[in-house]
Amino acid sequence: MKNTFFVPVLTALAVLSGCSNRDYDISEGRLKKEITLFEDEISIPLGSIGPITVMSTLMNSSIGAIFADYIEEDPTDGSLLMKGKSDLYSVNVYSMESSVPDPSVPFTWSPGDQSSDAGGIVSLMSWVGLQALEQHVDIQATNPLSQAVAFKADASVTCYDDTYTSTYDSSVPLDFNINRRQPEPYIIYSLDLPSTATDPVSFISLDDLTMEMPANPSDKLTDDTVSDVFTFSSLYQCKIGIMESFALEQSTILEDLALPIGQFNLHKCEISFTLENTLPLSVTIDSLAIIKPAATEGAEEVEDVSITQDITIQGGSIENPGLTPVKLVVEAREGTIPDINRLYIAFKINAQSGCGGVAISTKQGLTIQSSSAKISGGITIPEK
Amino acid sequence: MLAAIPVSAQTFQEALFLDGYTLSYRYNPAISNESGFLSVGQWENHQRNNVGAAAFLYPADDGVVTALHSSVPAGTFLGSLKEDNYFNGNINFNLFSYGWRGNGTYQTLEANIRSQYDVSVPREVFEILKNGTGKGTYDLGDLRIGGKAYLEMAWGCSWKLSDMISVGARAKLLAGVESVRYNVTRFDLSFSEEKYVADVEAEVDLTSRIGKMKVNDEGYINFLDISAKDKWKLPSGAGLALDLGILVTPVEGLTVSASVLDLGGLLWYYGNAGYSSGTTEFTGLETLTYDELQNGQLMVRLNEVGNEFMKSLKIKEAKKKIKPEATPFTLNAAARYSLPMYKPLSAGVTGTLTGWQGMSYKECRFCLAWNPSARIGVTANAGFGDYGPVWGVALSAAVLKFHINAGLQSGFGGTIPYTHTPLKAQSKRLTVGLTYNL
Repeated sequence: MKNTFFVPVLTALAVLSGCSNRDYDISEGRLKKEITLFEDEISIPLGSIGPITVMSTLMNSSIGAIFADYIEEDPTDGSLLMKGKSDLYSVNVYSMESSVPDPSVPFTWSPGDQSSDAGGIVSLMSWVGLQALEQHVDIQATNPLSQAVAFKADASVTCYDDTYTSTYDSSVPLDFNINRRQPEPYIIYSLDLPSTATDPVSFISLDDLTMEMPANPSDKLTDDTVSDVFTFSSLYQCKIGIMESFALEQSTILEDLALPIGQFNLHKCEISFTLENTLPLSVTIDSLAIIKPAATEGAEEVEDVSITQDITIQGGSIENPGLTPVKLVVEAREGTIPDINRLYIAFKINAQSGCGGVAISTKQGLTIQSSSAKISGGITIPEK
Repeated sequence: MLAAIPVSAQTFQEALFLDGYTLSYRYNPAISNESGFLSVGQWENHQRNNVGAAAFLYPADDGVVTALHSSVPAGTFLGSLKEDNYFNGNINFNLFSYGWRGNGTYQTLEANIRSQYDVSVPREVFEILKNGTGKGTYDLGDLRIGGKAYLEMAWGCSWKLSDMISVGARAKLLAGVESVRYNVTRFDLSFSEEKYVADVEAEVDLTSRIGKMKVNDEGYINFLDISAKDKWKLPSGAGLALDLGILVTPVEGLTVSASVLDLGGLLWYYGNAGYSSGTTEFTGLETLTYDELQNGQLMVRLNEVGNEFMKSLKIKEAKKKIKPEATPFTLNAAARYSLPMYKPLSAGVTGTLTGWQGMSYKECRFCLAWNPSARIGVTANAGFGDYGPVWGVALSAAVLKFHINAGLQSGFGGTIPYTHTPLKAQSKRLTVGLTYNL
């Protein structure tokens, strides 16, 4: 009875105990959890980025910071405006009185010819291949006295070798709004340069300046006057164009890109996009390289990653944007593509023919359209 | 795409070959016992998977790697998968069974708790994960996961029409306890460099007794936030099922059996329901500005756009509904012949076909049994099923008036050590029970 009962039970247990396959033992850390997804390829549409406009670049780049203080957007048509301000002449009322033999009687103050440049960085425009379009000059004056002062001068504006002159003869009216702040300036002269004047203004002059001062002018200073100085200053404005001779060759390192590519353990990545360019500039990217995290000393080191070189982007305009299909292939020669935080770029920028005389709009720039990334070789997630 | 088949529990083919097994009427309601009995706590666990763990795990030099490891070729991994890869389970607990003979019939009454669960994942899900999106279009429909539990009250009767023929039937009243289903009926994905397009139709159904799924302000269901309910309420579903069987003894020693089990279904009331339907596109970033790019916002914006795309796959709350669901039926056929020179020894064949919503599983076994007395019997079988070779053993033994029965069916291919997880596709069943003969 016992044998007939237990023999089949033991047989069954023997069969059951022999069923496990030790090759598949996943206990005690034998299971390796590293996985690689999408081994053949995966395409990821990235969409559009931009527009990267001249204005946004100026406001955000270290190079543009130099120009940012002097550049604005024209509220009427969105053009880029360059502005400058400079002082032509200033004189203190007390200095006048102490310089004349008898300030108790009316006297004529004649400081002679006064001039200055246009101010700001206007003078640099030609150096960097920019045109000055629709140039406009104002000369303004402030009068600290409580009564009008008659003055006379010959105002002139000089652009390189060309001279545009006009004569102005008027008086500065009483400043009825004298208050504890600086007296308001008064535009005494205005000039729109002709459209053929594309060289930036070099000098703004007030020649033979004379002022008919009252007796004891310091007595005409009110208790509310903040300043006791006569000032003459120039205000300059122009729209910016690009010379057809414009050419720029530059290399730089783009910092703080913060692209966390390294965590995906990628071997090869193709980034395809269409670049829409509304600027009348063609851009040739000669060299791209990923720079290793900044070294404390020594030369910059390049990551062992190959990137497509010699990319040329066609120029265009807002009406006819240049469209350039671009494919960037980033491939690790060894290991995987690391994080991209610093990118070295060497490029050339050349003006398109026929771009001269056209003001640049703040809305012109670059837009990355229909971008996508194709990753080959998979995304490896290591065991942690 | 094919759907996963819930498992039916009434496939204990060994029942015909164990003379002392008192619950054989479950296999064929025409089978009767010599005397009455009482059974409590018969427990059965049945699992079926059409792809084994060996498709997902691969031995390596110093351990085991997953199928997504770079050392595993895509063809090896994907070639070991089926179009739909599913895992089904069925756990049944017999509250009580009572049988008695009278009026020329043998009648049974029993109550059971039956539970079923299944998950099905189409191969193309793994194809995307392993290979990527190079193929372009993918059909991920028939992605599903679900489970249900219901009470079964069954009354059976077996009639001996003649010395040669017996017939039987069992009528079952079904009361649904809980049911939850997440079913993706259509999920077409296309990938290109320009855009991803997802065309989705999915639904989730949850009976109210489980709880109430929370809905956020946008009307989407949060599966992870279900408020529990502790009140005893009416059943969430009701239904009927029927077993029919016939037993024929054409000549002495030869028994031929045929039965059909679980013809019927349940009507479920789903108090929580949701759906997702429509087409959505992902084209990447639309409005990333230069300022955002400068401020390292590229990845943040990509995440935002990606989440927006995934939102299209979320489930929105839908109206409550009543849904019919058929119970998976089973066809059994068997023949047993007792050797005339030594009647305790018998041999035979069994065949089983399970069908549900157009899917089927079938197997055929050759059986040997040894029943030296009414108090003990043992049987073993081997054969072939849709997943490959199968085998089974069962034992019935009596101590005084108590009958212990145990049975094990499985396939071949081994298991993961310490887990009993099958490495190959197989249908595996374990049955243990105790009856008291009256």
